[in-house]
Amino acid sequence: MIYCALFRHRPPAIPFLDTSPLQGRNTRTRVQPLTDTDNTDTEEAALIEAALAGDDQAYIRLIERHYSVMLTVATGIAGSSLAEEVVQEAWVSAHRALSKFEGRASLKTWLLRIVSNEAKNRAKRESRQQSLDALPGETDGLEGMKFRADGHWANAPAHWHLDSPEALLEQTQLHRCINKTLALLPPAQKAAFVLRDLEQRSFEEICQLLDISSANARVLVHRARLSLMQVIDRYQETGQC
Amino acid sequence: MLKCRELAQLASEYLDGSGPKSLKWQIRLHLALCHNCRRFVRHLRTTRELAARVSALEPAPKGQSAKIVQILRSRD
Repeated sequence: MIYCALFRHRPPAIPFLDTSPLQGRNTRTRVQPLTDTDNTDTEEAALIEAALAGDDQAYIRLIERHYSVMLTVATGIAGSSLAEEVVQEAWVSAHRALSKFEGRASLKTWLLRIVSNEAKNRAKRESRQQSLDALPGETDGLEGMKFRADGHWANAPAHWHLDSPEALLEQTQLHRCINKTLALLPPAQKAAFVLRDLEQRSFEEICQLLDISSANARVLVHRARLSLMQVIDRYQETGQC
Repeated sequence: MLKCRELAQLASEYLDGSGPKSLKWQIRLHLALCHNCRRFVRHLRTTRELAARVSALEPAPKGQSAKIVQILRSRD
């Protein structure tokens, strides 16, 4: 397996002091910018300053902004029973170093590295293997689709009467279906998908954060997309989840 | 020539623009000839775009952030 070669050669960083920019960040256009915008950075800088000056409300807002994605990563690595504690400990580490945060990477990137390191260490301490769904397994995620023995479609992919993102954006019930399915994805699959498609992280960064091979990261993201595609398939056919 | 099943396995990699060039050409050739796979890839692309726009992670449980701040302040 090819693990993240790019990152294997880096010295073991003290996570909360490592603020160097990541290589190979994805540059494609974001569908919906969620992080790293100038406004977000300015607002976050103000929140950090206020939090360091003792403003608890500013600190709460800062934590609320990043809690969910940190929990997703922690769960993907250490499992749901340890994830909340891992996030708490990650914040303790971040708190110790926050005054030294220089903003060379975004705050979210910095926090994700911290929570990833906390989760890996915690999983190791508890002798816990990473979620089994991080492994490729024997299925390819295409179980819901019908192929003939010769590898061609037995049943063509269903026609979607609504097939543009714009048309589907108006279907609020479908949004609920998507979020329900997202919540139920296996933890490592969800973490890989969230990092890739919601956070627009590169695969190099994802495999480093989740400590999985690049091939596994791609498989996890693909399976998550296939699960969500089947939700849309069902919705197109029945109007329900 | 790729089979449809293989293409369905590789579709995300194709959409993400990764994988070797030779494979990209094989996928493009297959897509040029296969209506079903074109539809599959179109649906997967739409899924990716829609999910990126509507997915929302569950927020922190009520009081959780305040609890963390309390822990941080107690360790100052």
